[in-house]
Amino acid sequence: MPVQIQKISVISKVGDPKEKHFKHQIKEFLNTDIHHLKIIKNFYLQGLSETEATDIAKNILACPITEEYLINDDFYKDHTKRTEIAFQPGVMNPEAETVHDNLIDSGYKVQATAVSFTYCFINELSDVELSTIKNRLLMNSQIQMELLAPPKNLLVNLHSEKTQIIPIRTMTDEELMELSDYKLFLTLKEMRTIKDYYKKLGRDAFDVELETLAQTWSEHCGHKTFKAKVILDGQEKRSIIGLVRDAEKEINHPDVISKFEDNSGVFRFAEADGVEYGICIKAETHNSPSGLDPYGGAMTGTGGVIRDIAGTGKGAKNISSINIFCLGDPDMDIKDVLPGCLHPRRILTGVIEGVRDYGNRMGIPTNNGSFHFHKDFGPKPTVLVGADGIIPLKYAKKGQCKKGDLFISFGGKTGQDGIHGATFSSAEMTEKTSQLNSGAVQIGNAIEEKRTFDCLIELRNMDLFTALTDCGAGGYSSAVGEMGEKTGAEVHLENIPLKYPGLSSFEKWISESQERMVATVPEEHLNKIDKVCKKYNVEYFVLGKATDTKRLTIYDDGELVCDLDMEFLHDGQPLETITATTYKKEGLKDAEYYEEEIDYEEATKDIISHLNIASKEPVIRQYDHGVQGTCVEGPLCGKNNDGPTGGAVMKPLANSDAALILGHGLNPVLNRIDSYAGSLWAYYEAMSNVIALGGDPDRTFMIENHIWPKPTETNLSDLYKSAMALTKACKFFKTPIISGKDSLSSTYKSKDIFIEVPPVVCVSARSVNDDWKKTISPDLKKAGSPILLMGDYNQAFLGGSIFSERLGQLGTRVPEIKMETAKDIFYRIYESIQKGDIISASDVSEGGSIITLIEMAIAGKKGFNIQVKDKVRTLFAEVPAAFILEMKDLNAADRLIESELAVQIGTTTSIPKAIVNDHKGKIIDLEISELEKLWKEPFTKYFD
Amino acid sequence: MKPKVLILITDGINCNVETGRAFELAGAVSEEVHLNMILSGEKNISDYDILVFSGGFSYGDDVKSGKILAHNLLKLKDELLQFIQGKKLIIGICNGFQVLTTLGILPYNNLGNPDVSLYWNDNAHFECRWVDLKIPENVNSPWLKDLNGRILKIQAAHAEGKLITKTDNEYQALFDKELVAFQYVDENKEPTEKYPFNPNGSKAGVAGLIDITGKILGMMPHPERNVEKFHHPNFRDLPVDHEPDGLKIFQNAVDYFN
Repeated sequence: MPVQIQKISVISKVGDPKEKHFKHQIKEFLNTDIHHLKIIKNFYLQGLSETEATDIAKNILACPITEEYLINDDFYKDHTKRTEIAFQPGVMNPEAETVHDNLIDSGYKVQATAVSFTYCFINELSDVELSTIKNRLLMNSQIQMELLAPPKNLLVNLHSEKTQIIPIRTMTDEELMELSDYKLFLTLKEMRTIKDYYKKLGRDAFDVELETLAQTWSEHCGHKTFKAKVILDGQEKRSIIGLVRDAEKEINHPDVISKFEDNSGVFRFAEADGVEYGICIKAETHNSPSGLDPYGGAMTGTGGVIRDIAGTGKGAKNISSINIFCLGDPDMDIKDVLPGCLHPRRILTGVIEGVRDYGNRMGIPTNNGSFHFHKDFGPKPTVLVGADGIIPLKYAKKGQCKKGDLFISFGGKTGQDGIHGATFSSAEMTEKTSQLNSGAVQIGNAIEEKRTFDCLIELRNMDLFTALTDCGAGGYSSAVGEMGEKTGAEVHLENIPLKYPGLSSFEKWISESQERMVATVPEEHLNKIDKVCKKYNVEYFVLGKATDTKRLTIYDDGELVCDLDMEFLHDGQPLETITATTYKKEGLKDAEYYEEEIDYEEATKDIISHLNIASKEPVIRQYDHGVQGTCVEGPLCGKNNDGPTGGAVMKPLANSDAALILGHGLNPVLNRIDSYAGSLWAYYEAMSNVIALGGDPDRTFMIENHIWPKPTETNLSDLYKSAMALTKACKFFKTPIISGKDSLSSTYKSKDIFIEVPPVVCVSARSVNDDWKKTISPDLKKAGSPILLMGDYNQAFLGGSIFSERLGQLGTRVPEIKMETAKDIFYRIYESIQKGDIISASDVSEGGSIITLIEMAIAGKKGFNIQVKDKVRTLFAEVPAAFILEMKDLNAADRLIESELAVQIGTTTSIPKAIVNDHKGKIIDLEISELEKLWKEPFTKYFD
Repeated sequence: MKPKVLILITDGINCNVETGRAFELAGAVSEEVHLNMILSGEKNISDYDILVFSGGFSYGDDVKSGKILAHNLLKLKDELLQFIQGKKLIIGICNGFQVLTTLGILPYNNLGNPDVSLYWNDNAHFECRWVDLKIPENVNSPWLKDLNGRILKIQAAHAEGKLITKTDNEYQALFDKELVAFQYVDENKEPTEKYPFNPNGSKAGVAGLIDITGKILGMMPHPERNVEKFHHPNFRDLPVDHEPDGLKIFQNAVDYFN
């Protein structure tokens, strides 16, 4: 019998605003004028009759007020230039899934559901133009495809391959590396170690075993570079992870609950209604998938990091989501885009839509983030996503499962998604990446994750879990491998519900399908689990159970496919040795200028409209920052709620006044000059962010993220120095690093192009203030307040500043500050805020103090009149741990000036003007409204 | 008496916690109840005084915001009709408003036959921002007692909030029948269609509706996001005795039962 597929097409009859949006984007991005564009949404339903399809269209799929539908017929037949785009078979399509489930629920015997969009143009468009629009804007061939004819069968049916036996014992080095390339991504040393293991066992390897080893030993999961022995300039040094652990041990902060041992770090926060709560923090990168498919990459990155929070201890609730993007120049010429890469502009809009569509659906406020643009991020963007959670301390630690405890998986089904995601993300990007690794790209389904989390929190509160973890990189192999490490585990792959038939054993085992969590549960709780899962529409199944064999034993349909020692799996990886050599940076030059010849107004106007500085409001508005009702200071502040906050302040517990303060720091170009000083700068920025809002320096906790190019002898010395700088600062300021993740693959390589993306170190800070009323915001509050510049300008170098960039140079020295001085500044500011002496504050960051002051003025709709000496450095140097402070009154100002760390540079004014004088007179006299316009304009064009 | 509030939860609802808290702050007793518990008969909506459809993305906003939940709620048609006829109150906020209009409950209680629709914002994407909402002088609803003519600062956060009727006459009828509960206003406190004061382009700035009895309120912006002082975007400028703008709506609901 032929397969019956009904097509329901739906169009807007009230004017679809997405048509206008696409027309604008086609004009802006591709420079093509489009007058007519119509969008049709198509639903394909397999296994139903036309009558049923008509009922469904009428009652479910089309809105009677705003839409029209047709069954098995086309709208806009006169629009002959058209393209229909659908997700490739097997790619998660949340909407198709929702419709499918609802139809089944409503009693329809639908076999499969798909959704597509048809974009209809008229003849004004040439075939070449249509093809450009399709490929550059409408479709991403990583996950989508053009439907050239109606689909014949929507059911995905793969041909599964039997588990392979790999004759690893007899392989030569060349054969080992051939096996490793593009699949296992292991080093020769590691491949040889595995070969020796099997020689000792006296048998060959199952593919499931090799895949499990590759996942567990990947850079992504195993952090081999960070664990490796380091030889720096001929001298043996502590491993990077050793540096971090030593620092934490030395600090020994009483509020640290867990660090680097769980999916996120936890610190003690506050008490409410007699329960003690902790905050969970985590940030990680999701670069490679975001480079290939920015939308899906940002979605699954967000989904993954919030699963890390949800899978901390016995389960935490997510309370905030953060994203940091380092991207190429969004205005670059399309013809300069490297093979295998997407245009930065497409990455920019894609990642934002991904974060928006996932975070908003999850009901998690997105209240902090930043953008950094540099042409060298073009081939490989850096996408860093972070999340915070809240957890009662009694659930903050995982328990140890016992023999017989069940491994239960909750949430999504398993498909071929993300196979080799963990190993792939540890590899560099090449021109071939986009063809070879498409399995690494996927789309997330936020609603699946949301209901699973709701269900898990209810189960946690019933005390049913011994431990809970997420399925992230490596899928079940990592989750079960970790939870059963101490006991042993027996797994039955045939129990795994599949999205479609035909997955081979190793694919089921390492698939990175999203929205899955695994708990260990004593068997007697199974009934209770069943009841709660049914309530929340959450699918669960028993994946296996804990044993006492200390082995990982896996069966698929009764057949043994894996039998590994847990010890070999977790501790068998040979320790790498990394050799790092300090080198002299070539080609660095300081910007040349004559202080008296600078047009300070022009310089200020240029810098305020630089993409790194310009208002991100068009992006921020697309994220929900108010959900959960916890926002004290969101990403935007001030009178009209349009000034930048820098960090954020939250009140996560309804019945406690305690405030959580968020901040982060990074500046990739600084690491190109000096990774030691550049990393310190990132640390200071994160600290300054939280201090400026009222954070307590004694209760501040850190996340470190290194996003580095593929290790080479030279860039490893930079990495090591960065780690030395961070750990030194953390020890000095007693701010423990409790979470972190590294990614060492920011390199692009093709036949004749080799690009190392700027090395990024991102430091995230979380600080506490017991009373939200004692936090402050950066918007200028009133006229006549003394304005102080607090900081140490003795090492106010211009290296890496936007001022230098404007003059065409990177510079030779990163601005620095003595740690003792910075500490003094942080404590004095904290105390002055608590006393009420400081009424608004912001740290000096990119652009320099003049930009900070203008942003505070824009936020407060006030002006300022200041007097400066040493004009260029005072106004434009991006000095770490420097602050602009608005003081309550002169007495308050004097109390800080006494410290000799702050000077009064002027006063706030009610007239909204930016006035700067030197000893001779005005050097800047600009309307704040004009500066506001320049600051707000640059980002809008990408999002209209 | 403390009225009993049922906060309906299901796949994708995500403003349930803070909405429940808003009712508790106002003096009600609130309980989250999953749709499945009502469908299975484990819970009965008639045991509650106030039925709340809170914000979120029910079923991912797939197909159309509120559509799938509205379709599922048709299974409870009789219970809903009975609830509407009793001395009870209903509120739909954001996604909840989308559900109530898609169901046909707002504004004319035509269950299963909607009269209005909340369509995509003019800018085609989700938008989160504080807006000023004016309560018309003539609207009459227990939810809006003593609020006529006042302007409240409330946060809007939605992608589909533009009110559409089949005809212009039907749109005008919403005003003629005094069913418009809220209008977005500009800096001169005049109802506006202008962005950003009106985030979605809704004609005449309509941001919320009541039904003909006034007992059912639907609104796009989120009053539960302004029930405590720190919620207000300029809370540092507010007087000590400031009463949060959104809280009044929840207090009115509680007062109705006293």
